[in-house]
Amino acid sequence: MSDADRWATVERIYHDAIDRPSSERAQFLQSACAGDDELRNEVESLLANDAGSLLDRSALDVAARGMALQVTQSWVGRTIHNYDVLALVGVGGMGEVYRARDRSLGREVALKLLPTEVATDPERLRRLEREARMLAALNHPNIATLYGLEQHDGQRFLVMELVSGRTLAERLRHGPLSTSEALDVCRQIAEGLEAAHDAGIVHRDLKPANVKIRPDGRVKLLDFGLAKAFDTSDGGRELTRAASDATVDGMVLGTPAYMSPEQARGQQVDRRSDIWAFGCCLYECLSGRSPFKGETITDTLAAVLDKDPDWAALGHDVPDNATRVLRRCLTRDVRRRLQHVGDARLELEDTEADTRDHRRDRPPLRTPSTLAIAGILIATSASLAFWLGTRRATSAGGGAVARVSLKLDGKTNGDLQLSLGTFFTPFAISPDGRRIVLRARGDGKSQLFLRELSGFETRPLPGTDAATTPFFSPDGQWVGFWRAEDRILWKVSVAGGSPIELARTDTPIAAVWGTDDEIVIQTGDPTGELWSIPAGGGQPKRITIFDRSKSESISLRARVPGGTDLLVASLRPEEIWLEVLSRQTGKRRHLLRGGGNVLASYTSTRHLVYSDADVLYAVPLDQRFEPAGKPVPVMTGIDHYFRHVNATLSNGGTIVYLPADRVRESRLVWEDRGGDVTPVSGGNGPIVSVALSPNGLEAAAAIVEGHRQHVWILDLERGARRMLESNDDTAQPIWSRDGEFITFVTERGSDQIICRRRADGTGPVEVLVPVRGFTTPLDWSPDGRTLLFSEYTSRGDSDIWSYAGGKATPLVAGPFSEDSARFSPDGRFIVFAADVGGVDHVYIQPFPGPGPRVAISADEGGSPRWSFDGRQIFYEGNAPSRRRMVVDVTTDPVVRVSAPRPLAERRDLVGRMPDSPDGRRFLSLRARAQEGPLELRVVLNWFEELERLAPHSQH
Amino acid sequence: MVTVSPDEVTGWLRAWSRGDESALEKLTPLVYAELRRRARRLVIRERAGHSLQPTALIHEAYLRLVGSAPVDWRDRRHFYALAARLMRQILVDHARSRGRQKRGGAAMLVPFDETAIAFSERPDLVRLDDALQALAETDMRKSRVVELRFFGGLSVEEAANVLEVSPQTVLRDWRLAKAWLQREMRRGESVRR
Repeated sequence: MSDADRWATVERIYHDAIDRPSSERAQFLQSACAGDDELRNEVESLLANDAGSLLDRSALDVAARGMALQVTQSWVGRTIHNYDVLALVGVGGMGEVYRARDRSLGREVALKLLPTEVATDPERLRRLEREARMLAALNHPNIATLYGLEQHDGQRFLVMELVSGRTLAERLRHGPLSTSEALDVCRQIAEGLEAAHDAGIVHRDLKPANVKIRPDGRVKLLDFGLAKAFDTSDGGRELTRAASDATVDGMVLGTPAYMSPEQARGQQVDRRSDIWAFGCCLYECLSGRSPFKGETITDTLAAVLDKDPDWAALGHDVPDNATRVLRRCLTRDVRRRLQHVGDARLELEDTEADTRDHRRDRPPLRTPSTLAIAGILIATSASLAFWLGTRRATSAGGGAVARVSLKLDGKTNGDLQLSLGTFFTPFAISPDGRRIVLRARGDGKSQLFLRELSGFETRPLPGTDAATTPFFSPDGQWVGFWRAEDRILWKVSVAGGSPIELARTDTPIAAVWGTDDEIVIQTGDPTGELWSIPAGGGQPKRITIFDRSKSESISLRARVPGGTDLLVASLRPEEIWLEVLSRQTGKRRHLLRGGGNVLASYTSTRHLVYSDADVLYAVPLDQRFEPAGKPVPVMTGIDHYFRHVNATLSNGGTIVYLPADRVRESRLVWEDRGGDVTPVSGGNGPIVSVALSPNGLEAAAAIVEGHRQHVWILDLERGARRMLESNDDTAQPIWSRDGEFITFVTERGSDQIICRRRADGTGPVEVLVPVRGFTTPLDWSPDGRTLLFSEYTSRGDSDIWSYAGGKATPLVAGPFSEDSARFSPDGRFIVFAADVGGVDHVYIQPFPGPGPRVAISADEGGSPRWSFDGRQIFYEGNAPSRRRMVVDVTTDPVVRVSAPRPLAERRDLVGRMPDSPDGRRFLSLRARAQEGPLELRVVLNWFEELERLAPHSQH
Repeated sequence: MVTVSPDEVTGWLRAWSRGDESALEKLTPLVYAELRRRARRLVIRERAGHSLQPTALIHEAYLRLVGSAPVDWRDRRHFYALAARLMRQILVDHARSRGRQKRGGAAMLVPFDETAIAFSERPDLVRLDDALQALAETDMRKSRVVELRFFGGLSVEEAANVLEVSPQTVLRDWRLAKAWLQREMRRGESVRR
């Protein structure tokens, strides 16, 4: 028989055998292999390896998990949030633990990184979050306090009380404790357990390694309740696997030697399992060995399930009381086991009193934490009931039109600042008109706030830091939002609770939540993709648009009533249309011309309301939701920015908007290193990008007007401005080093072209180089011969090119995104940013090269600038603070760079590094912002006047 | 670095599926770079909160390189097969270099809790790759099933489509291949000890 035939036979018999019940397999193999032992061995060895979990996770996942550990090791020496990470103190099944200093409180804490297995499992993470909240409320001298669950750069970690001293396990390595020592330690363990049990928290993994003894004798329990969150719900299944095959599963289990019989059987675990484990600890303290310890896991578990501890191992001096407690704790039948650890505590106290020096410095037993937790739970369920009870649709009409001004005060220091100039509308009204969600900045951070229109309070929504694109569910009970940090779309109940993860998505520009629990989002890629996501969470599905053309981008507006079709806008350079996208065919039809800004809504009055720039239009519709009349402008003066309009409309006819006159446009200011700010006269307006002239007297700025963009030259002293070129759209200006020329980008068809013109506006526009992808001119060499520019590649990253002598050649073109290149003043080096390995760093390398590349930034860095004298490099530091940083640099004879330090003491000098004539003052572009306190306009019963303004009878 | 248009990529895919191996030479570095870049980003920057699916990554790479223009399903199939193979190369190379670093680096980690059991759920990709090569010698198709499913993240149906066999066949191959690989890796382990 050939090898191939042989293999085919193995395969056939294997599959035949698999299909049979295991009881029949042996007999089947016997006859099928007909005495061929080798064949039978081969099949049997394969059968023995059937149904393993070897390839259950994708290879990518496996690689990522391997990498997570590697990445996190670099935390030592870094500052994470407020924590200066000092040392790695341990690594174990539950992750890594670091010692760190909390800057704000000046105390040392322990940071415990969640293992990837936990951090990547939304269900376990949610459970852990819940658990962490309960634990954080638990404040007992014998329990290491949990301060919080935080996140940095996608890594979740727990912040805990740092307990000095050694663990009970370490102590036990040196033999048993003296009786009085054992009683003291175990009484303290019992006290901690008791407080937790009273609060409804079970430890689940109590063992000597989780008990720390401080040098002063105080005992602290570690890792309370974490085992539960780290475990999966299906404990039994894991255990069977664990017992049969120690290499199979990846779950962190309890520790076999301290596991209660019910835990070992994979049954429900409650506080009585802790009591068992407590008994194990007490036994070990008194005898120096664990009561159930086998050579292997299987042996250990077998001992737990049916062997009695060796009572003779307890010394003769162990008091009877203690032995009695021990026996009652280590009773296999949970119903006959000691039921309350408090009873053990009392016994041990009595025993201690009976023996020797009774300690009197015991901390109080009860803390108010139990009550507090109960109170919170009651409050939560009560408010939930309230919302459920008061849910009802608000009917349209039925009141007079009223225009009111809504001040929003978030109880923060200083005014709430609405997040403007962003890619999304920063507020939304619920469809029932009862509440508004808004993204605003207060007390130093941006998050979502909720304002019930029935009340006065504007409260933050927990768990929504830096959330974008807020939107409501149809019943107004949920707020959907997205976070760039984890690139996840979340929903959070308006009644409270942790956000629930829905899906990982690209940046959503707009989102619509349908009554059939479908969420549709439009993502921020250049063409705009539409995705469908179940409101209960799940994989996003791309919505196919068959008839899209290359030059258009498609923008989401609304659901068409009575179905799943979508109202979208097709944005082309030459025209804009509102269109209906059929989900059936994936094709669109024109509805009407216009609707360039994101608000568009079908109203219950049978109108379509939509926006262009600062104007809101309404058009009456017929029964089939087709336009039945001319669009009429119905409201003006609404703040807008490019394609966004800051207005939102409820089903019942409440409209909320930000008036244009409450917004201060972006503006140019001079900032000095002390943080003092001087406005630039004539520097207000929708400026997109700016470059300072080499002599520091003028700026070239790209300014938006409607949908067009032009480069202007601003005189920074007098405030005068003139347009550089008026025919084409022009953008992204930079200066030549002699100040003679402005180099900029213009678009012709789908190509981007880098051009230049004399800064004084004389002479023709000279075409330098056409570039296929999105391009940015970066810098001219001091000798004026070489231009650096960046280009986005079809792979989605950007490369740095140089252009000289009529020819463009790639200069830094790795598989990463390289950008923001600048020449050194002597032209011998360039400094640039690259995201090697997913982290932005600033590098120097010789020009034109080749030569070694030197990293400048310690943590993260971007938008570097070389100082005019060449001795310093400025750059933007790491997120989230993004402080501006500076390093000293020499390039002769070799490149040497100092450690980075903040550019100024003041912490508010943040963001992209601006140009500077002298390294002392910087021309900074401040983003558009609201003027004064946060105030929105509200029009109630607006639909009452809609019919009058855009009547149905007009045709 | 050359910027390649989706049309060119599509053209190469077509040429390759017609049997033009030189087209594959053009395609491979491009797809490799794209996948590696995405994989690195994914595992470094976005590791939390999700299990990582290579299909999504390959699909994104496909869209970047080929675009959303309608492409013959045979060409598409070729792309996925290539991508799965390259993902294997990328991830195994990565695991190899990590292995070297580990051996070279100082043992800075101290045992935090010796008694806790944390089973590793990471099969050693390097050893798996070796075993997979051995499997290919015995049964090419089964090794490709593993490549497509484990490294490429393809579903049973997609893998069946690429290999032009029925989903049942893929399922059977997958099951046997897993048992075979597990056995080989265990054997390797006991030899090592």
